[in-house]
Amino acid sequence: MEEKRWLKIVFTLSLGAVFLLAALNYLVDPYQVFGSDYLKHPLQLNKRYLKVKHLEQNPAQYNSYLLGSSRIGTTEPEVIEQYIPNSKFYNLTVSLGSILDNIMLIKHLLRLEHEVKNLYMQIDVNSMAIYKQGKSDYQRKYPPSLTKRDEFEFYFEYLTIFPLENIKGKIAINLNETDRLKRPVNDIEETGCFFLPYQDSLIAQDPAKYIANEVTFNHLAPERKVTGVHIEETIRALRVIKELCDENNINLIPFVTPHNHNMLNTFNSEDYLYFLSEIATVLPYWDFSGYNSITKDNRNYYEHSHYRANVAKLIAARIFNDSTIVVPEDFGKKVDLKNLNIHLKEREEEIRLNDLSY
Amino acid sequence: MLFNSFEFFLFLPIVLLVYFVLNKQEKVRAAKIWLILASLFYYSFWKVIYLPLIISSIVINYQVGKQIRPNEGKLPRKLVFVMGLLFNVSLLAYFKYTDFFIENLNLFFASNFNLLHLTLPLAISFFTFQQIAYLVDSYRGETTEYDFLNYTLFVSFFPQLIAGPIVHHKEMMPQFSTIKNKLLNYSNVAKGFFLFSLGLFKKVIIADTFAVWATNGYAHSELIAFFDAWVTSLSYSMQLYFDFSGYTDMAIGIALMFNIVLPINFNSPYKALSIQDFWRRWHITLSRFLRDYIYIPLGGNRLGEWSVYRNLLITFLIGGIWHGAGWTFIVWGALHGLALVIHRMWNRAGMKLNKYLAWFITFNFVNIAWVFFRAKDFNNAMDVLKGLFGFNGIIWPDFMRSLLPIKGEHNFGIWLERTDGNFQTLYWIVAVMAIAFIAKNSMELAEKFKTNWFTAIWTGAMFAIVIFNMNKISEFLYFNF
Repeated sequence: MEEKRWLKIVFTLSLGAVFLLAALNYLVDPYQVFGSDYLKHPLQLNKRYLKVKHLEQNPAQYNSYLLGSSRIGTTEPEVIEQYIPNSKFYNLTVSLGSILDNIMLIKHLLRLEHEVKNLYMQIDVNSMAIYKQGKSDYQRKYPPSLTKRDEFEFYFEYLTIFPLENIKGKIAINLNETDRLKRPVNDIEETGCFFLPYQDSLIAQDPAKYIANEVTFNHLAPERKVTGVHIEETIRALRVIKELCDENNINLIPFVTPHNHNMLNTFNSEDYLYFLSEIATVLPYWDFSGYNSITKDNRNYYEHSHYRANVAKLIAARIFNDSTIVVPEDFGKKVDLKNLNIHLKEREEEIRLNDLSY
Repeated sequence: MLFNSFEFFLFLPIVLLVYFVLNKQEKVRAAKIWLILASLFYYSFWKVIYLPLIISSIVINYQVGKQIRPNEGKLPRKLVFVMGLLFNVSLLAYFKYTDFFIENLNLFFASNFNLLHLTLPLAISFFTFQQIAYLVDSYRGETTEYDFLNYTLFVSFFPQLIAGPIVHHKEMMPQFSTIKNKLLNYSNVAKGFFLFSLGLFKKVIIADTFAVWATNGYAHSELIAFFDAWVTSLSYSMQLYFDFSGYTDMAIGIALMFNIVLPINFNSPYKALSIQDFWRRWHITLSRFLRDYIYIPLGGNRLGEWSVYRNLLITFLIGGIWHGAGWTFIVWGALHGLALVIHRMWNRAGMKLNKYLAWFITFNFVNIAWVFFRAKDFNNAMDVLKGLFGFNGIIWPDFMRSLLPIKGEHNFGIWLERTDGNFQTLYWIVAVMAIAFIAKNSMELAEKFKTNWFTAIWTGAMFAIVIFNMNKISEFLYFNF
């Protein structure tokens, strides 16, 4: 075969591959960044991208925000709004959200000159182990308006990745209604929350069966492998958040997540207690973590990671001292430097009594 | 700018097009300047602040080279030559070895000097060695008057600038001057693109797959068990070979599109039947440099047997430290030097080994020596070595409990947990090792290359597969929230 012809065939195949990949990514839109909508039902969402874009397009819609990882995703804004007059909350929960995410979001809101009156901020215990997202995590990249990255480069990257499982999964979801019904429902446009109606219905039908079938509730021998490798950066970031809030008259309401006991069993105890003590050196906070009547009851959780909406209501009721809601005595305590030592001793005793026992 | 990047896929055709258009219009000098500017742009894409460094290095070395040729310069030749050598060695030493020097000073003399944390300028090891070779040959009178543009192109030519091959002025300069090289040669472009695609595939698909297991293994090496340790070490051996040889294939392929033939750098090194054979197949241009500019000037094999052993050890110690500023690199170099000494003694004693046994010993020695090359420090290396020799026990997969006559809970568990591997890892290792040990290498394939439907589809398919895998993604389907 003549060389020129050979080159034409090869270049056609090569360029064809590039266009095919770009077309696939645009049409399927596995992370919802293109908004192409050919496949209406999402599998995965890049919530950082979608929520930041939503807020940029609706600057006056909210004046207060819920911040944290997906665990705060079940907290509906009205639960907090009832306690803070004239507040309009948006749930800025992001997947695997860390304290670094919180700083980035707060700074972006202030840069955009959005009104920020209140921040209801969840601090996960495993924030001590997570700080930054990986470069190859396309589900968790911020839009270029926040990162100041070149826009062409950003979208070109999303056109030229090949997330095979996501592409297959999104196509399958759009073809199969039964599978679709089991997926979370994300409300990006109004509240920012997510809902799990299918799981809620299963729990309502037969909670014992749901708990028995949920793998993460039935660890055989969990190991305390989650360590505080990022405590230093996280605490430094928390200080930055406190300073930002003080400078901008923002009412900051921090609390530590009521992790399910199965998840708590995976945290290194020493690092966990050290993390709690370090948070207190920055600011007072509400601590809902530990082995208490809420965290030890699996009915309050969808799996070992995410608490249900009723727990969100109890957290708020405790923080805002709502006597109309019965909150268990052992659930939630305000921690500051004055009572820190006693608090830590109580947590230590709890760990001793509950360690790896079921 | 990496060869495996979309910006390079845009850069290369533009450079090629303009280069050959200028040559066709008989603007030969302009074409050369264009290629030099493109090469310097390519270099500065990484960090433009280091552009003055490579330009200064080129200008200084060129002037020094002119001055030290016999009967050419007006200044004392030897003095200028030594100054030139010192300039190059000092540049390399400053950027690459200062922190290593300070660390050891602090360690041995209990001092407390701060590290400088200097960024290593891209390709400094390569363009320094290239120009040292040029200076030595100039001093010996083995160079002719070179045009400054040709010299600049020789050093900065982008296909070989970043990761070699280490080119010799004698093989490059004539090619930059030859008129027939100025004409677009479709045969060379085709073969060049074939090699480029092959190299891309080796790097993006093969090397980057093994990189995951190797990186995990070395990152979690404490008490690493037997199977994990072997997966770690073999993964790194494959990663290194396919990454480096893949990059070389790309460099050779790209250069060929410009009608420039770069020297071969790899010749199936893992097929080697002795350590000497290995170094005739692995990073061939580095071996050539070490032989011609370190080993032979030290005396080579002309000064008696013990001198040979000394010279081999020194040469490979230098080879080791050239690769990286760390004691583990020095140990790696020393191990290879020692192996060459033992090989020489063995040969002189007239002993012979069965070729399969010879291959087995050679490959395993190289594989084990790579542990020092890759490990971040001695502890890391010892962790992996202990795992390799079973000192941290053997963990069998859980499903084999009923099949193996072994008791003890600790002998079973999540298999290949440290490397985050699974049975697919084994398939990859076996398949890729078979390619490395048995299959024809890139140069052999290129020799037999013909433009037909088979190679067209093969090349197109390799390129397409690479496109689909260029941007690495982490998919976490569990995280639905």
